Formats: sequence, structure tokens, C-alpha cells
Amino acid sequence: MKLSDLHVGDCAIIHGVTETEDLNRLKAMGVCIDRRIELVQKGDPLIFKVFGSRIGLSARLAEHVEVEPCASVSRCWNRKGEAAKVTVLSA
Amino acid sequence: MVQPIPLEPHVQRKSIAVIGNPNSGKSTLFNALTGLNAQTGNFPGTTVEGKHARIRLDGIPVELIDLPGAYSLQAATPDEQVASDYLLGCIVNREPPDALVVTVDASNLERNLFLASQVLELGMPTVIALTMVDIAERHGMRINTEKLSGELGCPVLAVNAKAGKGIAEIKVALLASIGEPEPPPRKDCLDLPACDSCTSCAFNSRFNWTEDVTSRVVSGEARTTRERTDRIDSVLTHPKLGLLAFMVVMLTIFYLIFRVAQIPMELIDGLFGTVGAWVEGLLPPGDFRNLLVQGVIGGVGGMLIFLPQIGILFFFLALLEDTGYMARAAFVMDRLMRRVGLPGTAFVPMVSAHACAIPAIMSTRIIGDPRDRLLTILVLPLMTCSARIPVYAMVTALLFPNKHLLAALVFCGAISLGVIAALVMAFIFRHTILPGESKPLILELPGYKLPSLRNALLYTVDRSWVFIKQAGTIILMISIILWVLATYPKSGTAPGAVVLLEQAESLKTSDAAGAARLEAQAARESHRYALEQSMAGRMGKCIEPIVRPLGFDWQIGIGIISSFAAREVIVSTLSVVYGMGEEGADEPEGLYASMRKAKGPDGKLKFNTATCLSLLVFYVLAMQCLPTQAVTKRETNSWKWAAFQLGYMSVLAYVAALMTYQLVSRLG
Repeated sequence: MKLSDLHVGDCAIIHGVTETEDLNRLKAMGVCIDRRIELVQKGDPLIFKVFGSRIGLSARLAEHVEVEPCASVSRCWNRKGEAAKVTVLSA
Repeated sequence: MVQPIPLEPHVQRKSIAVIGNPNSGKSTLFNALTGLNAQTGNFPGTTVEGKHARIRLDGIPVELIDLPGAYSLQAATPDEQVASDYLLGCIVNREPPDALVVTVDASNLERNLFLASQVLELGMPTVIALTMVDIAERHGMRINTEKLSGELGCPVLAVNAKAGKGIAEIKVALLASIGEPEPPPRKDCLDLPACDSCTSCAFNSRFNWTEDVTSRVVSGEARTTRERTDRIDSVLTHPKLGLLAFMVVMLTIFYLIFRVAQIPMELIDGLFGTVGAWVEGLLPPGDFRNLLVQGVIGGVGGMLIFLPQIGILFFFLALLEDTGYMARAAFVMDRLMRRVGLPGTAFVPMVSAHACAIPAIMSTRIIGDPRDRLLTILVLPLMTCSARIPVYAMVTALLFPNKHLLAALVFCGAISLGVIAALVMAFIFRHTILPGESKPLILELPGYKLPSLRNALLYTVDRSWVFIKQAGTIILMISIILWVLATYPKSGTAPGAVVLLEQAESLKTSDAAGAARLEAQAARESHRYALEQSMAGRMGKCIEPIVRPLGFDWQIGIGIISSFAAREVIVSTLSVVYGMGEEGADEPEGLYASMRKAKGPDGKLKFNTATCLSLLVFYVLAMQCLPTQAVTKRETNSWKWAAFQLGYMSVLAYVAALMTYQLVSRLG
């Protein structure tokens, strides 16, 4: 599914980014395969978190980001260090 | 006039470049290392700006260069291109630096280490400055700098530039790095393809590496990151509340600009008045004295009077940028602006242009894409700047004396006309000369933090200097040229003045006060006559056939010509033309009264509704500001765009004023 299809608070893993002239801009900011992201605000533009930063992104570009929502909460965390917290919350 | 970053090969002077992600505290560190020594300049052949400074490290002279913020050396923006070219030694005539400082945001190691790892691969002596450690600790992360240093194979030092912590250590490490005769054998921490062969896979493996390193050097349980930022953002990036908040912020800044700037502006005005009077008393009457008083002192004063507003504007923009709010402003405005083909980042310059187009054009550097930036620069001077306000005030007073509500409505109408014209022109340019859409938004929204007063002040001083150097020299030049145009060729004594002086002579014994009044009137009459006979007067008559369809006569023509130094000059010029002397502009009621009574050769009132509205429309839309043109040239790197701006705005103003005059005069 697309990044723009996620719900607020959803965690997802990026599966791929389809070709666009802004590809390198996206990738350098961390929007690249296998990264974990979290949707913070829907709309155009939308806001998501990747690593420790929040990024505003136009909906047009969000269409290019293919994501897979995390199956279980424990698998999905915004950053490696946050794993513990997420598990505790879900317990 | 743009000072390039110096090109001379550094024979004795070693150079050190500071590089890092945007918002990673790079400028704060640079300022802490250099202070007021820094100078701003463009990188050769680009419009990308950087700062450089000469400092001493333990007595050894070193040149420090602040490179533009970059996320990656594989450039995706002009800023990144400059940073990467510079490091790789691709900038003509410029050796790569001898050593590097990379700022790395401790609270966002995974992403910041991406650039750091690319830089380390270059094999140059590098020192990592770890910033925002306090923020990382607030999030519950503890970073083992020694371990990180081992992973990266270079010194890693925690700094808090605002508190002055770690600066001395950075200096020591830099001194050591430039002292090394050969780059030290680098620990091969990365086994990734070279940068030019980057593929998605290379990005991926590099990020895997940064995440691995991060997990090895960070201990402690990370708490949810940036809770406070989340709470603030729920309002400030909200589609509706965010817009409202933005309006409030901008209104507050504007209130402060006009309110606070009042005091220094009056001081400057008074000071130059005093200096002018002092020089006038010192020198014998004559052209040289007039040139000095009216051309030079008046010109410098006329330029500096805008400095308080510009300084305050830059100061607040810097503070807002530092808090992290500017990115939110661009974010909430993005969708609205995009409809006319402008990016969200263009909105703050557009608001700033309501104070003055010059700082607004200078602040378009926040717009990443060069085409988006050019488009914004082209339409910015259509906004109502403070130099137009006296003209609007004059016209509304002529139109609606004592009807404040109607006057206010016309005033608002004029300001709205500027905004609408800018948006329409942007839309038209997007579909003609700059086709395509604006670059879609990808914008980091940094965590909120308290702004640094020191950074904001340094920025204000720096920008104000650029204004004085760029605009000031031009304004001074034009005011001297205009003085010459309005003074030569010399005419004989005004016939009207001779009569008045004779009358004054005969009254002298019986009515001294009456005689003095007549003498003053004679002086104003000769001033008026001299201007009419001067080159400026003849030019006004020359362009009369052209401006006649707009409802203007040669006297307004002179006013328009004199406006090219600064628009508000038309008020004092008309004051002279209507025989009120220059002082007439200070007490406008008398000027307005005599303008209202002024009749043309046909016996009709000159300033009828049609002429007034046409004049207003003309002043809203015309590009009558050569200093702005100089700044457009500086920021676009070509006179071509400055000329285009002048051309399209003049045509627009002419056509719109023509339509206004013809329409209104026909309606009655």
C-alpha cells in the first residue's frame, strides 16, 4: 500500500520508492527501502517520522512510497532504541 | 559587487570546512568558532551563499568555511551540489579543504551518520562535532562518544555551542588535524560502493550501517521522541489552526516592525536633518553645498531610514527559523501556494515583501529549487512595501478628504491588488516562461527549541550589511543622479519670483512679517521654476504624451521619474512642483489642499477621481525601485531577470493604469 493510505499512528516498513525526479531527495532523508516510518498527520502535505526526525511531504510524492504496515506492534518501532517501549505498551 | 568566497590558493593558510545536515547546529557551531569575523559571500559561479572567516587556532591562521546544509554528498539540491563539489575539489580554482568538521545531531544519529560516513570516505582529516547531546539525553539516550569515535575512526567531540561547551576541544582537535603531514591511515569502517555508483541499494546498506552503529553506541531506553514537539505541532501544523496561528505570528511581527522601527527611524531622520542643516551652515551657498546636502546626505538618510525595519524583520525571521517554526509556516502554506504554482516556502518572503522587497528577495534562499526561487523573486516587488505607503496616503487623502472609512477601504484595496497581481503573475509565469509545477514539498520539521539570540543578532548584522552594500550604494548613486537631473541646466530667475520679491521690497518698511512671507513664497516659486526648467522637468514634459492616456501630466511625470530612487520621493517632488517647497511634504495637508485645487490647462481639476485611481494603480504595480533591481541581479546572478522584472511590471502598471483611467473617466 501507499504511504498516503496509512492511518495516523500507523507504523510501516518501506518496501520501495517508485521512480521520481525527487527520488534522491527522498532517500537522503531516510525514505528508502527497509526503513521504518510512522504516519503523524494525514492530508496534503502529510507528516511522517523516519528515524528521529519528522518530515513534511506532499501527497503527490507520498504516492511514490510503497509501504507494508507492520504485522505486529513488537516488530514495528520507529527506531531501534524504542523497541522496548513499544513492547511494554502492548503488554 | 557580490563578494565571492575568496579563491586564492591557500599557501600559508590552511582551510577547514564545516559541513552537516540542515538543522544539525552547523551555523551555531560556526558562529561560536568565528563570531563577528565572518563574511558572507556566494560560492563562485552560483547563487548559493556561504560564510567564511579567518581565525587563529593557537596562533596559526586558518580559514573556516561554512558549507550549505546537506543530507547527502550525492547532491539533490543546489546547496548539496556546492557542498559536495567543494569537498571533492570540483569548484574551479579552489583546492579542497585541509580538514573538515562534520556536525552530527546526537538526537538523530541514524540519519546524520549517513552524510558523516560519506564524508569520512573521502579520507580527509575529519573531526565530528556531536551536537544536541542535551536533547538526546532528554530523550533518554546516552551516547558513548569514545565508542563512536572508534567506530568512525576519527575524533568525536560533544559540543554545546550555545553554552560554549566543547568549543576549545574542537579547536584543539582541528589544530591536530591540520598539523598532520599526511592524512592518517583511515580505519576502514565502511565497505560500501563509492558515491558516484550509488543505487537504492547503496542507500539502504549505508542506512543499515548507520542504524547498526547507532545501536552499538547508544545506551539507555529511548523514551517517545519529541513529545513536546508533537503537542505543539498538533496546533501549528493543523490545516486550519495552523493557518490561523501563522497569521497571528505574522501580524505580530508586522506590528512590531512598524511600531518598534518608528523610534530609530525618527532618530535617523532627525540626525540626517541636523547633519544637513549643520553642513548647510558650514558651506557657502552654491551647487556643491546643495549636492552635499540634498544629494549625498539626503540620499544616505533616505537609504538608512529603511534599515530599522529591515533589521527588525531579519531579526524576527532568524528567531523564528531557529525555533523550528519556519518549516511549519512553509508546511501549512504549501497547499494554498501550490495552486498558483508557488511552493509553501515562498510565503514568508511574500509576507516580508510588505515591509520591503529587498530583504524579501534576500530571504528567498530558503526556497530550495532554483526555478521556484526565481518565480518568487519575480513577483515579490508587487507587494506593497513601506515606500509605497506615503504614496497611497497621498492618493487616498486626495480622493477622500476627511472620509476615513473610504480612505481605509481604498488603502486595503491597493494592498490586495498587489497580492492578487503577484499571485496572478506567478500563475501566468508558471504556464509560460517557467513551465511545470513547483517542486513537491519534502521538508524536515525540526524539533522545537529555544532560539539563540546571538545567532539572530549575528544574522541581522550580516544581512543589514548586505543591504547597505547592495542597496545603499545604488540609492546613493541614484540620488546624486536625480539631484543633477533636477538641478541642471540652470535657469534664470523665475519671473514669478521677481514680482514677488519686488512686492516684498516695497512692504519691508510697513509690514515686515508680510514681506517675509512673500520672500518665502518667492523662494518656493524659484524652486518650482528651476525644477520645471531642469532636465528632470524636460523629461517630465517629454514623457507627457506617453502618460497622458493614464491621466497624468508632465508634473506627475517628473514625480514618476524621481520615484526611481525610492517611490515615496514622488510626494516631495510633487510638493516642489506645486510650489510648496520641499518642506511641504512634511505637512502634507497644505500640499493636498493645493493639489486638490490644481487645475489643468483645460480648466478642469487635475486630481480627479480617475487620475487619482490611475496613479494609485500605477504605484501598486510599477517597478520603481532600482535598489530592488540590484538585489534581483545579485540573487539570480543575471541582469536579464532584473530587466525582465522591470519590463513586465512596467507594462503591467501602464496597462492597468490606462484601463483604470479610461474606465473611471468614462463612468464619470
